Amino acid sequence: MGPPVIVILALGLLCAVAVLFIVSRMICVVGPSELLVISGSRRRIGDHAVGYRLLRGGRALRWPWIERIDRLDLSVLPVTVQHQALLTVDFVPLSIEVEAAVRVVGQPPTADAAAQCLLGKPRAEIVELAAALIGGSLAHVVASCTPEQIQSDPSHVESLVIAEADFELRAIGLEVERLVLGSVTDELGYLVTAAELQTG
Amino acid sequence: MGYRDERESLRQRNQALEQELAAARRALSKDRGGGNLGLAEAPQRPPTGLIITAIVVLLAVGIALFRLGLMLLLPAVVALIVSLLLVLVASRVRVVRPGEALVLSGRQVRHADGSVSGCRIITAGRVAPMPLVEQVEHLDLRPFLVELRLSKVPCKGGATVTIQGVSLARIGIAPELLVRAAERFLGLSRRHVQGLVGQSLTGTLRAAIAHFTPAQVAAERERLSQSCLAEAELGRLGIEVMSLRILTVADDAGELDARGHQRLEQLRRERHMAPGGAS
Repeated sequence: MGPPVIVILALGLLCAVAVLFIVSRMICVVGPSELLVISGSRRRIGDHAVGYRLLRGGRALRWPWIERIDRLDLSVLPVTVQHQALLTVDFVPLSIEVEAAVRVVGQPPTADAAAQCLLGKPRAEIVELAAALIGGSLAHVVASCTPEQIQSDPSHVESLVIAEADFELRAIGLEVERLVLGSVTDELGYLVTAAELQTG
Repeated sequence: MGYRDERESLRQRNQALEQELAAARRALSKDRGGGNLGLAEAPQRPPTGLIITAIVVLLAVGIALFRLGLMLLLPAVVALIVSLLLVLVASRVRVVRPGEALVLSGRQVRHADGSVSGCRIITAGRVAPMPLVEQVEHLDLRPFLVELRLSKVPCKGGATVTIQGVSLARIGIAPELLVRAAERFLGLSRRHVQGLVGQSLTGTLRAAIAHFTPAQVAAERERLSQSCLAEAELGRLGIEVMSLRILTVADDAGELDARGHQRLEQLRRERHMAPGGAS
């Protein structure tokens, strides 16, 4: 004589609910514009061990409690950089504005840098980092150009700034998607004179 | 001169720091019985498969006993205790995310080569600290910005300049940098670390500018930041500088302004000389 059927049924139901609960905690789904970082299990990249894996798109299984998931937003971040009194190669101070769009890179190995440098940082802080690096590169490029070059060939200056900033941005997992030189002004009146010279 | 004194005091501070560092190193090497860095590998993955199998077997045995009508209470109690233990262990596990390191202190760790250290630094994987015995602290390895504003810095030739710069730095991920950073920055807020790094960079930038004229500061900023980084030796603090840029340079005597104006005058002359350009 066994125990009542209802007890066994209840026990089975309990087990099923427990299994479902665990599976639901194990599955994680990744959207198209995000990078999933599953930390907790060690793997090797080259010769050093890291404690996470990256997932872009699709879904993955993770061990509940012993692996933790974080998400990195891969959408475009608008960055505005405005600097005054940047000295050109012939010491003419210019005020320059740059509009840029940067994004977190989803492909390794840059994505690894992103996970290590940007995980958990709010968007505003990522924008601040990007603005500082782009601003530094801008100052550096402007210091090697003449005002005439900046005025007559902005696209060349843009590509120089991108090339200059690229290495440092990639080191923290970002890339420049677009960078446009905005207004260039100077208090000295140099640019106006230079423009008159060219047209006149 | 003022800046001489300043450099002297900087040098003294450097020496003091160095002595402190040497003492710390000696203590460390004594503590560890060698030059070992005290980085332990994260512990092995808990035997998850084993635990799950154990639960399943337990449940099966429990159900079998149940069906046989023997000892109804015992399997239930055992299952309860086991699951409680499981939850206890799982809740103690600390996962190390990328961009952080956990420093576990309070228990001596014996390394494979026989040396012993007082703390372990986990940078990857996960760890279950021993309750009561081990203390866990957290190091943020993500980069941070340091804004540099220096005014009236004496240059070569006696002029003074005011400069603005920006630097991106982080606690180094290399094992030896991590150990040094853990010694210095454990428990400090990010703002505090930023302040310390900023102070160090400002001091060395000040000293480096003394070898440059104002025009050189503006034109050879790359060389200036390189020499500043070489002198700052932030690696001693466990800090890795990812970028150091000088943004604006202005000299207080107006030499740079004058050169800008000169260039403008030159341009105006060119304009007057150009055919048809005179007005």
